[in-house]
Amino acid sequence: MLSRRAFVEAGAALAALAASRARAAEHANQRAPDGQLRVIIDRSFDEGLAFGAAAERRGAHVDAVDADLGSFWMRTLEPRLRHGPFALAGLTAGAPLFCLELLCRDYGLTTVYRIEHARRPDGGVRHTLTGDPALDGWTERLAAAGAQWAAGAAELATSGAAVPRPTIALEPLDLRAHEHSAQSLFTWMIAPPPVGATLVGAALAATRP
Amino acid sequence: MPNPPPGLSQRDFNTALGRIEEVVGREWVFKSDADVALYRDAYSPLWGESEERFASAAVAPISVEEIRAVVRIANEYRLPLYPISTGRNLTYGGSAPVYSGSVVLDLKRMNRILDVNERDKTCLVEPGVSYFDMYRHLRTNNIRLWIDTADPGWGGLIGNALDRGGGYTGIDYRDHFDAHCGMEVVLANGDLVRLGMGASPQAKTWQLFKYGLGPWLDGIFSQSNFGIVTKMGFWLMEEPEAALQVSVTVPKRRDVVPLLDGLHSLMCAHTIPSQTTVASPIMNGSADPELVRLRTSGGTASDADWDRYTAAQGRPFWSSAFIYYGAQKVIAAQWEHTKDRLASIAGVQFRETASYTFPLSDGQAEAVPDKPRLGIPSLNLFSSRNAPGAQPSEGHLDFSPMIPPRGEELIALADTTGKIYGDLGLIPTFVGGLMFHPRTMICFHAVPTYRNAADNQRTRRLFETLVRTCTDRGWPIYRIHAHFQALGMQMFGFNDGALHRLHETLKDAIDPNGVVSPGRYSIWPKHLRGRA
Repeated sequence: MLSRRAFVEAGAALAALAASRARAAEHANQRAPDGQLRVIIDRSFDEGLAFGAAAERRGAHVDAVDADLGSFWMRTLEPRLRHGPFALAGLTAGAPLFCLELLCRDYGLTTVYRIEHARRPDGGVRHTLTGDPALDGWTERLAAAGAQWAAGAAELATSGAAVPRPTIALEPLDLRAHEHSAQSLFTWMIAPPPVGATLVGAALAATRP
Repeated sequence: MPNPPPGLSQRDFNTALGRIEEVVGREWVFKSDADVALYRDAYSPLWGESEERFASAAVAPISVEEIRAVVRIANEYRLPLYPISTGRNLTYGGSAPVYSGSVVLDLKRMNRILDVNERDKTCLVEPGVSYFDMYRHLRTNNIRLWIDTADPGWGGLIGNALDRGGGYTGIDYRDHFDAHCGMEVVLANGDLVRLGMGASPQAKTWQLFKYGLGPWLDGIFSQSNFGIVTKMGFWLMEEPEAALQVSVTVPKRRDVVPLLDGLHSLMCAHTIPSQTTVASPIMNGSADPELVRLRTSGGTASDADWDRYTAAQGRPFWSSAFIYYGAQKVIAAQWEHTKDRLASIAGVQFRETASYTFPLSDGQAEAVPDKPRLGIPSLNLFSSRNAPGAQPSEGHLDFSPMIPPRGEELIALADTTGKIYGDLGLIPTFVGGLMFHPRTMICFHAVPTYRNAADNQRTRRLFETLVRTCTDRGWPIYRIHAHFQALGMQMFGFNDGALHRLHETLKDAIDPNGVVSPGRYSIWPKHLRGRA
């Protein structure tokens, strides 16, 4: 890959930026360039670690982040996305997810689903899915997993040969809506749109050296 | 097809977009609902209400020549454009246009770092260059210069500077507009100008000397709508030999008076080089009823009341944080002098919180807890998870009054705004002030936004009351969310709004068709005045 400086100096920018959104979407493999689904977990939480361990056992590439998503974005994720968009899944708190949702837009990725895991006063966890209605049964499976729900969520997120595509437009996560469950964690997937979809980010991503 | 902006027929709108497609390519004009929704203000105080502002479409040019062509077409149809760079300035309006129906001119594709001159310590960038981009460029190329980053660091150098954002490092860098040197602008008529020394094509000093010859016009392109800035130069800070981060705490509420007097003197003398924060560990977001009573009393709680409460908490009332950059011997002398200057405050405590020698390895940079003070962009403001019982901090608007750096003013402001929050049944959010600028203090207050109309109506009432009351007390804002810009400009109404009249006189001269960001900072073109 050309460095940005080399790219600029070569004067190649304009010529290389003719890629269409369709081409960007075609390039948007469901999995990362090396064929793996990228998994991101928040290592601050036991649930995040359990999710990561389960995902790793299933062959996923797992990145652990902490409170500052910025370093991970700048050093790891954005450089990878510059090779083309791919699907991400993970278990984090709400704020990092909100950041990822906004940042990933520039690379043609949108949120497929979110599952909020809210701790109940009785110590249990309530699982609520937002997104593709076809995944509704997942929350029951997570409830059935009891205390092992994080590993169960990893299994669901990494199951199947193909990850789901975004089927409905989701607004960015509303952190205030979770005012009564500020301790919630979220399982989520952010992925490229279907091939040929018009999405600003996919087009803009094609311009980035 | 999307709906046209008000006053523009669907046919003309379609024709204009079609012609723009011919300029930038069809794939760079975004018209679907899903695409346009991406420019929605995620923290809008009007979320879901009829007055919420939306774009009608978006266009992403790649070059100055494409922008010029788009602007010329926009003039033919009076098509309103709303330029954005990265568009992530959420607490001030994000990428949603001020005038609903505008076409967002998305400049993210123009993301080239055109020059970094290590010897001159300058750079020249396009609007799409983010703080992340520039930091990564400097690290990757082993260039021993620092950026001064906004916090959070996902914004762009040009957008943040034009909105007069601030950072944390040295005085020459952290006022981001003041740190720029040289600018290129596409005017609303499609003409292209370079400001400062850049107007002299052979000049070797475009990024070194700000003024050029004749009237200095750069300022009129900040917080305005007179043109589209396509290049800006910035001064960069030379990486120092070392840095020492410190904190100074004082125990009592009224101690902030001598503390701020001392800190201000030290900053004016350049003994303290960095942004200086003065915040209260006591005035936090806790719902403790006694604290809430004190905070919302409107100043009737005495210093003695506050000091009793503070003593029971076992914490100092005020804590100041700042950082020294430079040679270690010089830093040691600066720190000693600072302690001498503040030692007369009873109970003052001095603490060294972190020290660094440069360059940092990637691992060391990663481990820095307060990254923006070392010019490292961060998203740490979006903390991982809220503390038990704490209110979520996102989304919110920033209410940003400016006060003189005097302790009496800081206390009076806290009393005034605390009562306003309390009267609306809210817990005050104000914790302290930041000295981005050398002789004023910005006192950010988080004003919560929601995705329901009832709560947002209360938010808007709170925000408007804060603006009006604080202006009356002599503390107007330095920057304001797009929805409240008309209100903000009313607060600068000397001589029956002479400043606003001047702004609109300029608008009429520079952009008679009103195609660039109509309504931004309440500057409307003639045909929309009193109608938008």
